[in-house]
Amino acid sequence: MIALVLVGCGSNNVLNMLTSNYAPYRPGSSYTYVKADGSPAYTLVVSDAGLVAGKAALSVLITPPSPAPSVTEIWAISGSRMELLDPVLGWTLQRQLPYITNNTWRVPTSTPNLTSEIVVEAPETVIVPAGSFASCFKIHTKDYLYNPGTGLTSTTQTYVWAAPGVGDVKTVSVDALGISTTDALLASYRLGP
Amino acid sequence: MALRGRRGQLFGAPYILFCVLGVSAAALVAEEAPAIVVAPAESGDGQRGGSFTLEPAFLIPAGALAKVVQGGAGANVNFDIGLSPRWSMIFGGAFYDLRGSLNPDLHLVLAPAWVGLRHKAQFQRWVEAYADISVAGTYAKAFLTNSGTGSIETLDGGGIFGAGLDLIPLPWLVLGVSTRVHMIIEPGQVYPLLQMGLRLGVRG
Repeated sequence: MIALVLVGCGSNNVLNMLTSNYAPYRPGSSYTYVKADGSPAYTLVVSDAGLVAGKAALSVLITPPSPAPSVTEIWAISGSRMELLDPVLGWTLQRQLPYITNNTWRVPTSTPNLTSEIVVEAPETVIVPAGSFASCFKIHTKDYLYNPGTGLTSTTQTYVWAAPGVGDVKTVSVDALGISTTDALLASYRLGP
Repeated sequence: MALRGRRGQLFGAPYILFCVLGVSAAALVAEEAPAIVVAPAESGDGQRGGSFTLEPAFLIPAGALAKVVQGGAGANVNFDIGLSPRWSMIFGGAFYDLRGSLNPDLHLVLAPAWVGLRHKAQFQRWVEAYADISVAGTYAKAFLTNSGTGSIETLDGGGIFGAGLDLIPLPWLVLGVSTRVHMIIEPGQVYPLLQMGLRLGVRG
């Protein structure tokens, strides 16, 4: 009996991951991110945006350190997808839920010659200033920008680790030359009621 | 305290159901016991032999899993090896493919296999009630169709509580109904699923 129960301690806790909310953004939630050196990266505050373009929406205020201006994004989160309101394309898919390792999808973009693809990579444990988070799915975004003048395509990549019951906890970007930069580490957060 | 409270909620409904089934079966046996003509309790018509049954069944998730996947149909195979007229060792396996309730592209495949002990009581020659308890290993795999690729899978441990009623219209034929509560264990959480099925098989 004990041996069989111990089998449950495997590395992929499928049921735990399926029943966890990896995008628990709701009105009243706020997140503070710092850079790798501890300096402020940005804050993110979620509020209710009501019904926007036919969907119940969230208004997400992203505030970098001054003098950079704040940006407001409009999100819609259902049980199966996380969407962003694009001024040109309308609602565009950003994340597919639930996260399943190796699931891949294209992200619509209004930038000419840019294609974007996301792959969900295997879950990991991530340690950031806000704490240690287990079973974080690694969301790998690959942006391919084609330059018609040179005929070359440059690839930039972003890795975002999403923690169950928290949301995004860490962001790392890799530029076209392969240089990696830690953009944001979750320093503190508060979930809305 | 919080953990105890949560466990209480998780185990509550299936446990009560199991108790109700067990008590009902016991009451049924008690009521019918005087009607046994041929065999007194231990020897009975009671055969020590076993049975093999196929069981189409529904698996209904409860607790946190109920918010993610819907109930679905599947099938079980059951082996019953008689140790005595009252006790059997049981083996079994099942396969279920549950669909996501929020994302219809989501599939959760559960394939438990179990071994356990069954207590049974036969009366009126053609009716047998039983209750059993088993340890189980469950293969679980989640994947998406249409909207993507990839999967995550694991092998979990757990337990199964079962109870049922078999009719034995012919000495070699078994028809019955059964209920099981599957408890799949992952770190920090127990996932209960209720299974209800119809049994058809042979006995020897």
